[in-house]
Amino acid sequence: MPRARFGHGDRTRIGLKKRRVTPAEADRLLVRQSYSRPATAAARFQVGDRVRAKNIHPVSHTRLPRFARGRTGTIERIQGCHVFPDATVAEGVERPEWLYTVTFEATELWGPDADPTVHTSIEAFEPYLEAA
Amino acid sequence: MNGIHDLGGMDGFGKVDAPPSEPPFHDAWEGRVLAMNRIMGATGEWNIDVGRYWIETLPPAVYLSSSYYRKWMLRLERLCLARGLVTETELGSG
Repeated sequence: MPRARFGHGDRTRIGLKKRRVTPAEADRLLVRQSYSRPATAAARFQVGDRVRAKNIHPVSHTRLPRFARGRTGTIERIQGCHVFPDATVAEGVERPEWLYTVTFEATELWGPDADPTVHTSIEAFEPYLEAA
Repeated sequence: MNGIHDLGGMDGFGKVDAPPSEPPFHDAWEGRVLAMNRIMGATGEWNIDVGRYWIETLPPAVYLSSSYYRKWMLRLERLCLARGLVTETELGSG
């Protein structure tokens, strides 16, 4: 797996050579950092668009659950642009991508016996999705 | 990866048993594991996604039979070993 150093937004990482961290530094360092990033391109999908989750099976990390792959849903919300976990782990690079809330009907995910009033939402990065 | 962590839609685990209140840590070592994980995260050696991947790649039987913070401990051990930050001998000696 590629080796990369990961920054912490506007916070400074402590590095491994520095052995001691003051309590004030610890407070600053240990607050979970933001993974939001400026967009480098316009969002491909808009609220209300029908999208299909790609049928992908990467051997590395992905945040796309198996139950959604190949299923069609609707863009419910655009969550902004965030660090794409799949690229971080597979390629060792920080590549921001648009993140969406995608809602699926239960019958689309679980078949005709599912409760037709139930919906399931996932947070899906743009590379997981194609227009449906 | 299609690992054991991706449990959505899987049957057979029974109902989620969520107690109304629970201490943050069930034992002192769990707090130490949390602290070690967070401080290693702050070094910039890896980020949250790399950390998640190294929990996902635990053997399925280990994953299912390990508590939350035991998974964190195993993840930290494996990452530190893989990155050459500790040796097996050092881990064994504590």
